[in-house]
Amino acid sequence: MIYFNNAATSYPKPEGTAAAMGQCLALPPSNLYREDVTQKSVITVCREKIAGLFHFSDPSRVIFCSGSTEALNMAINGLVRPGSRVVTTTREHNAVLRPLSYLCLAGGVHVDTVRCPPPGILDGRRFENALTRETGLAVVNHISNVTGAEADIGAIYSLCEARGIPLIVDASQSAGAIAVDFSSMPLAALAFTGHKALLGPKGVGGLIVGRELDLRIWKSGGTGIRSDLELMPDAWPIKYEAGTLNEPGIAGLAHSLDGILARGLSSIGKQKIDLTRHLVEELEKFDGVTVYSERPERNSSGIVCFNIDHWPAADIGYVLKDAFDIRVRTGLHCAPLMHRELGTFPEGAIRVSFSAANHHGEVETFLQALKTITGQT
Amino acid sequence: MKVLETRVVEECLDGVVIREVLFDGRIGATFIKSLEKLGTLEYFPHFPKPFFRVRKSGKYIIKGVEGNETCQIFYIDSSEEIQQLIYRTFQTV
Repeated sequence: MIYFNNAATSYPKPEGTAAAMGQCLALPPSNLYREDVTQKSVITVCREKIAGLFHFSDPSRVIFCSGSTEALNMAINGLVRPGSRVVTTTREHNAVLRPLSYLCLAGGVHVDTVRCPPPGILDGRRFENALTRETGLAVVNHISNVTGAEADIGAIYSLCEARGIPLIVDASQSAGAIAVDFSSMPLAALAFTGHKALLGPKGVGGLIVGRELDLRIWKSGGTGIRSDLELMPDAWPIKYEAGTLNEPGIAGLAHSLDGILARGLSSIGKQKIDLTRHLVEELEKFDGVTVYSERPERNSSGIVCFNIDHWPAADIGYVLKDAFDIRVRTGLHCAPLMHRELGTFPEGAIRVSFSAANHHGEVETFLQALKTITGQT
Repeated sequence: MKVLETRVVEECLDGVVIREVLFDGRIGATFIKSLEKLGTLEYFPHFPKPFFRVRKSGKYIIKGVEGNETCQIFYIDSSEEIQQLIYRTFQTV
């Protein structure tokens, strides 16, 4: 099987990740907030590794949860001010669009959506024009999960920072793909997921909350300590981690992070750019193929999005899977506004997304399959 | 062929109901040919596993792979009448 669906969830996971999860399950359960001072829990270790990855100085402000969707819900609902305007973009995933739609529906929040023309370019001037005195929050996707286009988060941050507007960054595709330096760009919050480019298991991710910022509590419940309190204990990160954390998942993520940190993001990015270049250069030789994604030299996430004339994307996905044993993702990729920008709504497109585990031989096999399907030799 | 089970397939597609159909045997060439009764049949026997699709404009698309026990139906019109027509045709082969 050839697996080109890493933007949805990465596969295979690094050697040892499953074992790390199994080892965690085999050990007596720990109590995170009462840990032995002589031995850090795997959760604390993973928190420190995540903080290190993003050059963030305070691991206690790394909040673990189930993934980007929960993290973004926590951040948006925790930072939005009633009666304010929120600026976002057409590049966003439904993990951002839907929470904002619910806030609009409930009343009291207005959303301004900045257009991002193909391949999903977030223009600084357009973004700046959307910021008003009433803007209380901005939410921006770092790398589009449809086209791989990267937003200039540094420039967007500067525009927000100059106006005192908190900026939430959705790093679902960029975490583990490109460097994000919190120390030079103190964002309000950054949401990440563990199971994509960070190569961890599903069901674990988190939110990094910038210093000197408090979120309104969006999720409350048991914490295992200070059960006498009516409200959540006022300490980081526990006040945002109600319920039971996915400790085996966090153990798996901690292991996967070691491999990424050892190899280095630039080496991983270079391999994905090479694979992307190979695929795009060959796709452009086909008749009737339209490529929508970012140019290979700017595409460290390894996402290639395209369509083939006379072949609905869904049919290509089906044929590739059932007749050629190749996995890609077709449809709208949970990003309907991005597909409207590309002109591919509602049928969507075919998305290939690489990981560092892929190689050029697989790209060749994939191209051969497309030649067979389209009758081009 | 007898339809044993159907289930809704989750896809990021809007306005289309997709159902996967499980048959009591593997899909063969005779069965595929018989689907001409339901619309325009396209058959790709040169794929590693031959692929077919049947289109009825504004109503549905049926697609599958020879040798599999399942196929997919994309209902643009998911009325009971259309569903019954398709299942009846399946069972005549």
